[in-house]
Amino acid sequence: MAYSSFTQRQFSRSSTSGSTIIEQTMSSSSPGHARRLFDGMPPKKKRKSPPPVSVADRISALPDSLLHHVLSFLPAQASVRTCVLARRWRHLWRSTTGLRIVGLDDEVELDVEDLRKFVDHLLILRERTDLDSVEIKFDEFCEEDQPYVKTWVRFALMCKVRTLTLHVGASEYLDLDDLPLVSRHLRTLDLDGVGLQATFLDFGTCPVLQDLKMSHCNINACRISSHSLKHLTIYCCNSDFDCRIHVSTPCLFSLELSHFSGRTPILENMALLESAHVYLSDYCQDVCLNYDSGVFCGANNNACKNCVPTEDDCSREYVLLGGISNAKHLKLLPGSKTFIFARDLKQCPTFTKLKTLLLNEYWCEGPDLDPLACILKNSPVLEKLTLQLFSKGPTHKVEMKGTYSSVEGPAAISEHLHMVEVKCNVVDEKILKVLKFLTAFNIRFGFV
Amino acid sequence: MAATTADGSKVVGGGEKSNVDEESKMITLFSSDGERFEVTQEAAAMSQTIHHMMEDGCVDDEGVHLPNVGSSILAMVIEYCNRHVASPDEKEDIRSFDAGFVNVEHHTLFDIIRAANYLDVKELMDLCCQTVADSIKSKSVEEIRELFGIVNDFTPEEEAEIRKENQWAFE
Repeated sequence: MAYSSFTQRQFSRSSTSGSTIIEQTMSSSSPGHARRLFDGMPPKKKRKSPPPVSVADRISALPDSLLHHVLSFLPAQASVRTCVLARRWRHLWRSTTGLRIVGLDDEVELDVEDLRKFVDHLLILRERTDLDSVEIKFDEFCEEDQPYVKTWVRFALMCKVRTLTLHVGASEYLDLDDLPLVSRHLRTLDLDGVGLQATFLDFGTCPVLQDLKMSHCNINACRISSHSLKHLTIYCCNSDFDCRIHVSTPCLFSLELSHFSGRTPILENMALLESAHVYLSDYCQDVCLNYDSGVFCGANNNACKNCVPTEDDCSREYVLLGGISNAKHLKLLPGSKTFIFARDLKQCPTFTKLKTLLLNEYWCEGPDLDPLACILKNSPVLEKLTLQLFSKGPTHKVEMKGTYSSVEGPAAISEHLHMVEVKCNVVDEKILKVLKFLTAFNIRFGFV
Repeated sequence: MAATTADGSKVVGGGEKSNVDEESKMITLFSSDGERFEVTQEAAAMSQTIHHMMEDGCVDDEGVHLPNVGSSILAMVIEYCNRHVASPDEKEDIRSFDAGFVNVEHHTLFDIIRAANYLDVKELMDLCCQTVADSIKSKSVEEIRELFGIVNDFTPEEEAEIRKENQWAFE
């Protein structure tokens, strides 16, 4: 076996005179003999090369860089505690490439106060090495703790961190300063439970930022912008502002916007977008209060307060559909009362590259299923359509698959369409209406 | 998963038999003990080391020799790469594959870590290092020593001194 010969060669590189005896003992296959030799050896003070390790101890034979990497996955406290395992391990914790400033026990609620003394020592006593990843995660904090957390974030950036994770599990947002994040190295940023201001969200000073994930964040800005960003997730965030947040990420590859509380952000054009998943829940503020089954009140004079366009609402431009019109894969799941898509559909863009589309029952509203018809008409290369009706999944009680033959080829549907799926829980009259609409396009269905 | 073709070379995982199959271009890898593995270029490219060699045109018709990786470990690395390029979107399936993949003896994990490091397959490295870290995580110092066979070569006085020096971590 290649590796067993490798480790034996390592024994023979040791500078102690005992090494050749160990090799001979190996071949004599007498473990008791080896043990007696270890007992008789005096403790060594200085070593130039890795010390002879016991036969079973394969982990200590790994090179420093790999042990640093392993230790980087441990909570920092557990990593430091390895200093007493053996001489080999005494200083390894000081040069790990990752820091996890998290609790030792996931079950216990962690206060920043519990972490502070430990982190103070850790950051001072570590080697001044660059860090690849830093994770800071805690549950509770008080006002005096905030400057410490912000300093830890600055420390991470000064160590040229590439992946930074800050998760605050408290009931209040931890507000980050209204200062730009400056880093030529930061590639991935994962924030949870923080309050973000305008200057922070202009990522011009992070030229290599590629992945941004914001969950349960309070976004008080009018713009999120980055020219390098490839993946963006905005999950369960909210905004106190009345204006719409402009999302300006022209190089974005994938987008997830779900459960946004407040006015729906405006998505500026994303020419390179591959996939977008937009889920607007009932927390969305773009919800008509006078909604009555397919009719929004914007058309009449008694518009509800949500339907009245705000000053900078840009009501002639798209909110969502324009920005995502270049995508190849879309999942669009609005709540029943949101009017955003209805508004965008009035001048529906063409989805020139759209191949797969997942929609919910919202699109099947109205007597003629206008939203669905509109989007199908504007998706000339669509290959697969999935309708998830009144059933969130992942499993659905009823699944039907349909095939489409474009022999008669009506212009209202893509001739590349080869698969239509309908997933629901109960086949009632609403579902039948949808099926009837689809069969008019020459689509034949069968149960799965 | 491995099958032997007519000329004795091993085809591991989902690779096509024929070398001239245009759809899945193959590359030959040789382990340190001379065994031959046919892999799709896509799977091989998960190794940044091999990927750079392919890009720089350093791979000739013969293939790539990997003197630092033994055959049994190379087979495992290839199995991992094949699985991860096959269906990268099926997160649940991949998670359970990964869990089964790392369910091996520690010394095998360390060998995979070394190989993944040499071949620069980041996801595999991280997976294995995470697994090792998980087995250290909630254990006492003595339990960790026992688990890995680490010999405590400190004198009791030295150990006490280190614990005192790093008291802030032991509280």
